Amino acid sequence: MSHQNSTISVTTIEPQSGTTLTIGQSGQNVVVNADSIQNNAMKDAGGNAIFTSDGAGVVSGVNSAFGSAQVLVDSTTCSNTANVTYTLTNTYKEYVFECITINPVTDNVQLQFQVSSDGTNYNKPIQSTFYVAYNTETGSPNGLVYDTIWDQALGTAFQTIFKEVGNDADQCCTAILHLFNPASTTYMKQFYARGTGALYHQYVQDQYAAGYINVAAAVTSIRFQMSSGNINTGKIKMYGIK
Amino acid sequence: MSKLRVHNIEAESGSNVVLGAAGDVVTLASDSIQTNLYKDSGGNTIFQSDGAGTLSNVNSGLSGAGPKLILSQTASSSTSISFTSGIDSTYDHYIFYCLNMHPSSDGVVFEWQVSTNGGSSYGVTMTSSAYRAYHYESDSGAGIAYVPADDLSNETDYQHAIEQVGNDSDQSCSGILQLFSPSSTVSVKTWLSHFNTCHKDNVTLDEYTSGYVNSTSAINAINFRMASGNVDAGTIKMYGVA
Repeated sequence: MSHQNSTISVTTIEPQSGTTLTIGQSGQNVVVNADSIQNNAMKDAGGNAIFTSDGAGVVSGVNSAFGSAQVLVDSTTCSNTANVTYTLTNTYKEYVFECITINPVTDNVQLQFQVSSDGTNYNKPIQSTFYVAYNTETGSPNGLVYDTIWDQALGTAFQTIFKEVGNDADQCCTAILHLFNPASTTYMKQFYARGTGALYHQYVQDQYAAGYINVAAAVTSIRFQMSSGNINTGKIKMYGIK
Repeated sequence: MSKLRVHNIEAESGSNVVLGAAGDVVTLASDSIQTNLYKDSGGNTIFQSDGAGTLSNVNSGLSGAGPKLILSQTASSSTSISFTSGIDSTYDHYIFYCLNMHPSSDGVVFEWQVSTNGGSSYGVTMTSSAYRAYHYESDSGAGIAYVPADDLSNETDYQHAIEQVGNDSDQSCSGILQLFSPSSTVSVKTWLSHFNTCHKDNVTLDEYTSGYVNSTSAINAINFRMASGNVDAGTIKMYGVA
């Protein structure tokens, strides 16, 4: 049965039977002149989810074509935190860790990281370089120097990415670490980091750590910590790059 | 009735037309659906178009992570470029992309300062370090060195991003400045900068500066300028990193 009309005025349109209500047909456009269309789940014609809202504006199940190439995988706001540990997968070939405005509980300590293949032991051999540009609040001394204290020669210690952070209430450091292809089972894993901040003795330093984790096995987790004491405040965000 | 052919469906009364009931699937068999404003069932905006294909108010679940363009400004014989809004607690990480900044005067410094009063004044105390690598087009010299002239030691001067920018028609400087936690009222504000330019004497300069704004007041504006003369041309884009 069909019925033809130019305009109908109605409050609700529901399926005559079943649960599917079809509007329009191939070759036609459905134009919604109303101020808005309200719906929680948007799917394509094949029934594949494009996105879903919970009705409170929180969207999930977003099709991967939306968004940017940089995905926020996880974020931790530290509050007297012993360490921050994240799981790594083969979803991303590059991970970026932003350690932002990190204030330690203990004075003159290092922000550092290590990786693990079993989620328990964080002690992979690391070959690294470390250099700094430095200045002070009084203007002297200053300079650019390689720092042999904080590099590693296949050492299994946590790798420092920012050294000698002060713990005054306003002191902090920020460092950004890039880690490449941790899921590779063929190659060692390269990384580089750059950080800046206020050191315990009123120095400012621009610190660079880089190198590789000398294992061919996949590394499946990463841990950040201070060399002594907890992370008082700050945020550590893990991004994956598609 | 199993099929209804109609040109318009309007609300019988009020302003809502309801399609289907909870649990139903409304299928649009047509080629497309056309509407400007898409909301979820709670009336929360998912995205909005202006009818010309420009989207706004995109739900963060759709837009993804990474840099979000907040504002772009293009210089044209400008004394300076200021960003006096949009720097707040929305983001922990702001990036300023400075693209092809061309000075009206030859061999000048491209520099910046921040404000805690919305741009009424720029002169907050900073401590920083600076170094740069260089190489002459003639291959007559190359090296890397700390640059005391470009650092600050608890000073309120403008921070040099890069020096000696040439003003030949094809010369300019480009680089990025990253500013972290500008709205903090507890910590100093860390920042990282990396610029490259063609020096007025035809030398590539690769300059790294970093440091902290030594204030616990929130930063809410930033100003970029040439140390002498105008910014003849160039674009500065401000992003917030979600």
